[in-house]
Order: sequence, then C-alpha cells, then structure tokens
Amino acid sequence: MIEVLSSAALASVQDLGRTGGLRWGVGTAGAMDDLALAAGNLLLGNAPGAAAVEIPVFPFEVRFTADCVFALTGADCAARLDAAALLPWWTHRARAGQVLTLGLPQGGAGRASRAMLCVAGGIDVPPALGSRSTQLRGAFGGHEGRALRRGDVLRAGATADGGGAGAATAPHGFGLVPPALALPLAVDGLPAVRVLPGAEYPAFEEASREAFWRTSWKITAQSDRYGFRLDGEALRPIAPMELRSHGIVPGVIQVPHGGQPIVQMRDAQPSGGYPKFGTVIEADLWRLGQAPIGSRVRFVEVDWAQALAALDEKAAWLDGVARLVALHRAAAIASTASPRT
Amino acid sequence: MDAARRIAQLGDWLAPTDIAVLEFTTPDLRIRLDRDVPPAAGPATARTAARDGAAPTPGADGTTGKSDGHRADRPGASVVAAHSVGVFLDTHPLATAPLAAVGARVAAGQPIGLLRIGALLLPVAAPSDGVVERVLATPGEAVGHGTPLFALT
Repeated sequence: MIEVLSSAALASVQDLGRTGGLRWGVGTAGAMDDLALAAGNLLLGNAPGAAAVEIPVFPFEVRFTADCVFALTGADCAARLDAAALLPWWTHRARAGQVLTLGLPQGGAGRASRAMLCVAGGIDVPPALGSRSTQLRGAFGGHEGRALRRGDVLRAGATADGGGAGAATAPHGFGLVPPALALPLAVDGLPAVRVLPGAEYPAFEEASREAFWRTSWKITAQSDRYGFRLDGEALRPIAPMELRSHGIVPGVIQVPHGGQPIVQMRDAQPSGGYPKFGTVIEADLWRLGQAPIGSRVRFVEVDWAQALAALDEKAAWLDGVARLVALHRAAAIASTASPRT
Repeated sequence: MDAARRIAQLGDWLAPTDIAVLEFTTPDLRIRLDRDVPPAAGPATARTAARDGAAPTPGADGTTGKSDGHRADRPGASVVAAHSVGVFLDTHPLATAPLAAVGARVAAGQPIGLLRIGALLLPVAAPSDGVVERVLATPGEAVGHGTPLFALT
C-alpha cells in the first residue's frame, strides 16, 4: 500500500492512543496532534481514531504501491505527489507507483512540526491492548513496535462503506481550514497552551509561580514524544521536595531539581516522582505537540471549568467538521453514482 | 394548481447553470429534475453563461451573481463560476500567495480558488488549461451558486 522510502527515523503509526492501560504501567502513546489525526480521518470517511502515520522529521518520502485516497493534516510540509504540489489539510488521490514527498514545515514562526498522513481505511496494523499506536517504550503496537524505517510497507484497512483497501474511488479533492486558524490561542504573539495548577504548585516560590505565567518558555532540543524539556526562568520550590513516585499522565509539568520544567507528552512514562507544577489541559496537548523545537510558548492559567469548556470547544469543532464532511462526501458519492449523459 | 407552471419555471432557472439534478423532498412530495449538462460545462464551469449573455444565476441565498460588468473581456475567455454557496478565497488559509494569480498559467482540474463553508474548503477547479485573466469576486466575500469567480483565457 505505502512503502517508506526515507531513512528518516521517528515516524510512527499512531491512533488516538491506548487508554485504560496506565494501571498496568502502559502509557497511552497516540498522535501528538490528535486533532490533526481525527480531522484527517473524518475527511476520508474513517472513524476519527483510525491509525495514521505521524511524521516529525523531514524530508519524508513514501511510494504508493496501489491506488489510494489519502489526507494530509498537521504541519504544512509543501507536499508533492511526484512533481505536483499538494494542498495542506486536504484529501488527495495517488496512483500506484507515485511518490509522496513531505518537505520542511512551512509557515515561519507559527509553523507546526508534525505531519499526519492518513489513508482511507486507516493504517492496518494489528491492535495491541485495544490500540494501533506504537508504544516505543514497550516496543509493541504500531508497526512492529518501532519507528518506521526505509523499506517498511504499510497496508490500508477496508473502508467503512466496504470499499477496497485505500478506497481508490473515495471522494477526495477537498479540505479543511486548519484548527490552528479556527481555534487560535496566542499570548503576545506566541502560541499558548492552557494549564491547570498542579498538586505542588503552592510549594513553589511566589516569584517562580508568577514568572511561569508571565514569561515565555523555549522548547529545547531535548524534546520528543516522551516529553518536552523547557528552558526559561528556573522554578524554585520554597523548600526542597522529595516525593514518592506516583501516577502521571501526558500534560503533567514536572519540575526536576534544576528548576527547568518537563512537560510529559504522549509517550510519557506512567509514573514519576518530581513535583508537579501543573498540567497542560487535555484540550491543548495538540497545540504543544505541534510546537517546533527551538520555538517559544506561553502558559495560560485556567481552572477546571475552563479546561472542560476547552474540551467542549474542541469537540464542537470536530463535530462541525464531521457534519460538513459527511454532507459533502454524500453529495460527491451521489453525483458519481447518478447516471449522467 | 400551478405546479406545472412552477416546475417549468424551475427548469428555466436551471437552464443556464451547470446543475444536473435538482431534488426536492417533503413528507408528501418529491420532485426531481434531471438535465443533460453539456460536456463542455463540467462542474465548476459556466463558460456559455458569460459568452452568450445569459442572465446570472440566482444564488441559493437569493442574491444574484455579479456577472454584469464582470464579463470575460475577450472572445475566447471563459468564466469559472461558483459551484456551491460559500466564502470565496483566492489563497489557501495557510498560504500567503494566491492559488492562481492573474497571469498564471493553470492546468485543467487545478484548484485556482476555494469556497469555504464553515471548516470545509471546496476547490474551484480550472475547467481547462488556460491563463487567469481576471479574478471576478472579492476574496473573503460570500458567493452564491453561479457567481462568476475567474475569467480564464
């Protein structure tokens, strides 16, 4: 179906994540930008949680070994199908033998960092513990429990309407306004994410707490799917803290002894013992997941009700996408099926 | 009842458009009008409408298209009209350069503009190989079905 031509490491098969396994010490994994994954799948008529390929390193190349309808979401990577330029956040059709090339993310300072390649029917890898996401730490799930490498061949599953793998005749040639534009969030011109203060927040110095919200934080090169190490004004506890290890989830902001915070991301370990300064809200993990290394972000303090409202807003955007795309796909299928002279 | 006259009126309204099927359903009524659309006027084109001076198509919201004063200027020019209601965009929301600037050479099927409906983006495809002569609608404005968007030569 698609054959990986790049040696570029770190691309992986991801779905919406492996929930329910934290009690066994199994982290969630899943797409760093779950909104890009869900939207790409909806464009194709897939279930929102169908598996796709997450690509964080460019250029990235695949060859289609069969006709296939696919969607590109996430970072706008000036994609090409053979020589033809492709629109971002759009559904396309490839013929067998064509090569898809993703270049460097476009968009200057506001660029995203991860592209999603979704195919009609989803990437067909065997589910493990209820998910097709690659669990890199445990080396299972996804494609052979590891990041993709040159020569890997991924198959597309059957589509919901019974079409063959990759549904080469499925509706295509339309797209979406990206959620970064539809649901913008910025402070002083920098991308922002919302944070709930954590259990140990009151145990940090007043000046550190104030600086956390007031200053920008750089995403250092020591950042990946496991966690983002941030660089900024050191966060100082009022007194040194020693905690027992306890359960943590993606989004938790830990502060090790040096005072430079770590945000746990989708491949977070399931437990940790550093003090928890706060938690990036679930609704905004996709924003942080798309922030490139070297860029700066701002944090905005919210309460529980605001965090839930943000989740509702995100769900409402996806519902709107699902409704409009379903109408358009139905019309496109009807016009293909109706006899024309 | 003047249903027959009204159906004839619908037919007249459909005549200058590229709409192939009009279907209208209520709990106790179903009307379906099928037309043979000439092959030259594929989806997203209304090349004859501008050339022979046919009346602009009423948009779905009742507004008329702006074809008066926006006709293709030269013989051989064709007008690309909106195939849907939506907000006309000449540039992808993530891009800074238009999809097809005036003077650009475009290939048949290539998206040269977009119609935005909520979060959805539909392409306005070039009906044939050609050169963009003029952009006839204002980017960011709502357009109706049949509103002229581009003149191609």
